[in-house]
Amino acid sequence: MTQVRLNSVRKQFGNFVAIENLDLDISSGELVALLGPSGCGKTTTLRMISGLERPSNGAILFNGKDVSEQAVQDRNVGMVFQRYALFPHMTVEKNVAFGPSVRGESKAEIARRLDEILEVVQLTPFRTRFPAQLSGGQMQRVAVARTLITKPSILMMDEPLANLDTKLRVEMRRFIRDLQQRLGITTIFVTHDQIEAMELADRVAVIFDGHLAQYDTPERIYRYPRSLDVADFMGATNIYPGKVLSRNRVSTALGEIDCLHQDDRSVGESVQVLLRAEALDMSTGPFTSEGSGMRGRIKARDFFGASVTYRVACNDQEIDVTENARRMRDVGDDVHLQIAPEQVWLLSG
Amino acid sequence: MSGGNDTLSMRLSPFQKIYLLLVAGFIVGPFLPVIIQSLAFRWAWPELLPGTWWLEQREKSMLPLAWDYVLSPYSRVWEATVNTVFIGLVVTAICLAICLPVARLLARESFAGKSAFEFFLSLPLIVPEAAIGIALLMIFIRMGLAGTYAGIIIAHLIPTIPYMVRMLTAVYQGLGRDFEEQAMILGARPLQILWRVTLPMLLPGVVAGALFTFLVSTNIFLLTFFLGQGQVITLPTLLFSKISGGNLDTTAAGITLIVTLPGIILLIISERFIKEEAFGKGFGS
Repeated sequence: MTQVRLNSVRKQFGNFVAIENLDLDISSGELVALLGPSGCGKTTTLRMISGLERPSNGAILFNGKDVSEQAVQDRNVGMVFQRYALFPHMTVEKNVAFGPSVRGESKAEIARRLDEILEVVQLTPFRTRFPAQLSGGQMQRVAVARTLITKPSILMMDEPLANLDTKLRVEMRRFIRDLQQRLGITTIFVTHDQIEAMELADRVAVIFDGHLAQYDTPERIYRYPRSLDVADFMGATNIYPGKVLSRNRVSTALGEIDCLHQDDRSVGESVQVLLRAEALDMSTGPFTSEGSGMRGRIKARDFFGASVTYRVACNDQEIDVTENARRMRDVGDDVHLQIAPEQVWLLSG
Repeated sequence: MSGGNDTLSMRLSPFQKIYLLLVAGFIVGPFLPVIIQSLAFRWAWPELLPGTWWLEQREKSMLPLAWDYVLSPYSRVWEATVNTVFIGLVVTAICLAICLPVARLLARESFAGKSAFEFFLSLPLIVPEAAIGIALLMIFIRMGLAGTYAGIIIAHLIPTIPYMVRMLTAVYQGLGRDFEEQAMILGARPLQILWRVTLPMLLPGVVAGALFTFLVSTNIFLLTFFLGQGQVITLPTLLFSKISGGNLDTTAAGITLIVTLPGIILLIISERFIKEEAFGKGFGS
């Protein structure tokens, strides 16, 4: 069980600042995602935690102990690379046994742990194959096994689900989640895909341009993003400029909307109003003007299988509404939109 | 081979076949008179083929004259062969040790003066060997390295390093950093990484580079001649001393054939060694 702490870590390559004063606390046994667009510094952060890069300033602490100057080999961390980096000239067995073997474990001990870990990742029948003879999912399980056999105190993964097709993704997600909970190992992974981050992580650290934009649970980051950038990156589409009218009412181009009071907002302040597409209720019944009711007409429809997203024209504005696909509406239908006050989120604008 | 010939005759036009045969003849041709000469008893101008073959005179000599001489201790062929192979092996090993880190840098890092460095690296290929030899000799005589194995080995490194660096840089460029970083994270120390990950993955390039270096080293005459001072003889210097009089007699022909042997043997070994299947195909991506 290892707790990780980054203390105002900074990393500079020449004139380029990859990471600027990053503070991050990861509890032991937690599964944390570092999320951000490519080039935001998330991979650099992971490499600094692993020891492949040294921070220019600041400190990295494992269980309160500064490891910033410790060599990679002495940190006892594990890393699964995006392309798995399986050694092509070694069989599955040899790949998995590499760690204990270079650490000078006894032959008997290696054999015992090898059998055990191959059973865990269900690769026993493939032990004499070469990496090129494996599927993507099998290669990833070899990479995970090769890392876990060294009993790392921290497990790191670079885009763990990126190279897998949809069906395998679900399977690997469950596999990683189960394994992580069973072993209680502190896990950090890097991704540019907000869905992957939400699917897997206990907490998500959103990083933009080397700065930590928000660090919270997936649900809170999705519902209550702290900035427009975060909201945008988490896939929010309905964001409208507005003005706070009273403690729990805000005006926008769509009309006046009820909201819950947010402590840091004052009456008269200009804000950005975020309405999540799936939080809007759409109906065709008789229109009641109370609450946050808005009238509109469906302009377009995108079908995603389980869900369907409508583009609704409303007071010269357009708004996306996502519904369960059990019931389909047609383009041109007149609809009423309503949103519960607790689903409305105000961002400083 | 017969399968190869079948496809050859099926797919190639007569012109293409003649063309290939000409090229092959151009490369193999020069060996023919040497082989014939080594089996001749008497082959004087203007005869097109030997007037007397060894086979006709075999009661006078147990072996063809060339081979009788080559195998006798007077020829010093055995000594020269041992020297040649020894120097070749040491040069190859040192060359690899020098060039691996250089190739790694050239393939992975960019630094000020990189292109200038690459240019200087090819200088030994541009400057005539005689110039290098004279310059080295002047230095080595003062240092006491002239006429020693060490002196010859150092001299052989100069023309071989540029080739080796080029070959290894190319293979290093194909090897991502991931593999070595992964090995590091798994706890491997630098030497373990080199031995268990880097070298096996670079193997095709390393074998090709080593083979080439060995062949170049075993064929260098001028530098060996200058710096060996007659005290260290190798196959090329021995051959040269044999033919410097201008007459290619049977004994010289025998030595010529011996000179080609190390290369041919090595080529066959390495052909068997660099089999793609042994790699389990593909490099992970």
